[in-house]
Amino acid sequence: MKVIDFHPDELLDREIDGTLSPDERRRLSEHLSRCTQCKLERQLRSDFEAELGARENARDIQSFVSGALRATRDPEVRRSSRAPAAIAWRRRFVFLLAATMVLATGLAAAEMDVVGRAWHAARERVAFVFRTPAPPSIEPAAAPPRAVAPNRAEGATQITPEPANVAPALPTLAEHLGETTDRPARGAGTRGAGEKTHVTVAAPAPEMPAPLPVVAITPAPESAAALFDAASAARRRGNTVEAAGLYRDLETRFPASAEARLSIAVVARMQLDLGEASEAAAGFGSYLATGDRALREEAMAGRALAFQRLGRAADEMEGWRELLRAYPASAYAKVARARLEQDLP
Amino acid sequence: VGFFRTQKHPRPEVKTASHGAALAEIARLATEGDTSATARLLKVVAPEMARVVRGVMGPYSSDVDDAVQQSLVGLIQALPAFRGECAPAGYACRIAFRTALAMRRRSREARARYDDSTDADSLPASSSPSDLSDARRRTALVRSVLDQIPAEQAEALAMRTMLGWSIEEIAKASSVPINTVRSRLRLAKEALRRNIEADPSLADELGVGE
Repeated sequence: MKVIDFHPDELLDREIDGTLSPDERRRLSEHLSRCTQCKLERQLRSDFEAELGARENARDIQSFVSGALRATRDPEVRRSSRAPAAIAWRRRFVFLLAATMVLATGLAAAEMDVVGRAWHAARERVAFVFRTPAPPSIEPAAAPPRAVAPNRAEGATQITPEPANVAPALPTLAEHLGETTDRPARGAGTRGAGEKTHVTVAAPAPEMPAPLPVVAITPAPESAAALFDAASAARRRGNTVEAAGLYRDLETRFPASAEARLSIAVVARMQLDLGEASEAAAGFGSYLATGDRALREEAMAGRALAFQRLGRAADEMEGWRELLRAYPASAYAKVARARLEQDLP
Repeated sequence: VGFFRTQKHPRPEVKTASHGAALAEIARLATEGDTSATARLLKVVAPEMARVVRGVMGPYSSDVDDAVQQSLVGLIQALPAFRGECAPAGYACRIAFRTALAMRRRSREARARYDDSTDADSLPASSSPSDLSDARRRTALVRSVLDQIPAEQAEALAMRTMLGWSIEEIAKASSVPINTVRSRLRLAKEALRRNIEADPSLADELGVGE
């Protein structure tokens, strides 16, 4: 017999808490020996307990919390979003004016301490390695200017799959990064009338119970670290265009910074995810040429992948060989060896 | 029987009775725009939200960090709509669950556009990838079932198996009667059972389908 009408859920719960009496433990054992459903449930709870392990590191949690609060700052905005639409928009407009003045005085400087940035950079590295593309969002306000024309290499094979989650009207990342864009240049260290303040209306989280739109205001950051953080935050939100612009600003305004070097590789990875393999290969090459080692392994693998998608078999094979020589125990080693064993023409 | 005792992670602060009322008050203040209360609320519920995310996406998914971050942002955005009709922790975990599930689906669809056999994105984050253990196969199976069943059933299954919550705790978190939770879990486990029966080795190991 294996169909049991009564499933002792409470005993299973108390087993987890370790509060079963000997008699209850015997009853539970007897039930489990006959009931595959409870046996399965108990097994799965044990599996997840082992897989998920201990609770999150407190420092990680604090970082996540700080990041979320920064991303949705300011509480006034959330309060205003609860008002009727017309009033909310009027309040929001007034708030934006005030917030722009306040934030322009240097809010970015108060964002993170040195340790936090270092940790954040490490997290960024981990997240970078196996990143998959998040859907770019279409901002209803203050979207960056469209590129005039793409700046593609002559003769390069452009592999551009049609990602279902990319709006067709969006310009490619390469267009946003190209030298021919009409994006206004920002004077380093100057905050004049021409300087932009990014205003983003974030989309509500998916399938949330009636979430309300939130206006997040991001002043133009004043340091390489702040720019990198802002760009990373935009990338996490799936706003590829804004992220690309900020990374580009970072490379332009703080070219000697470590963050600028990292941004070259991160942008290349974004391009790879978006199907801009030619630009990605060039970007990874540029990063490797800087001599920076923080993302060297990932850049090598990324460049080889880009060559693969371009159909440049010889370059791809050389890329994988180079990776294996430098990092024999790389997480990409299995892929590299598999590709090399195929002995492509 | 009894092997959980040495494995169970510390009982989360969100689940202890003494913190329930305090957390509800913190959540109320947070819904009114109190930034300090919002920060405290997030700090308390974030560990459980992170656990839900890791459970849904897999602990080695490269998207876990982003999903945790997005879940917390989603919680802040959804706070104005929180009316205190369920436990704040449950509300938070449901948001984390839906965010993680949506991101997992997006990631899978994105990977499907490329050649999975050679794309580095499809690699496990371990430097020594190996064949999935039986436990990994079972947890992976649960994740795949989450995609196949209605959201309410999937939430109940995730809270039960990943968070180890009791039926009563799930009912409070979801603002539904206990019997509704039982019904959702039963249907979810039936779907799970159908999937297990399709894998003879798993079915044999778990005694399912005998």
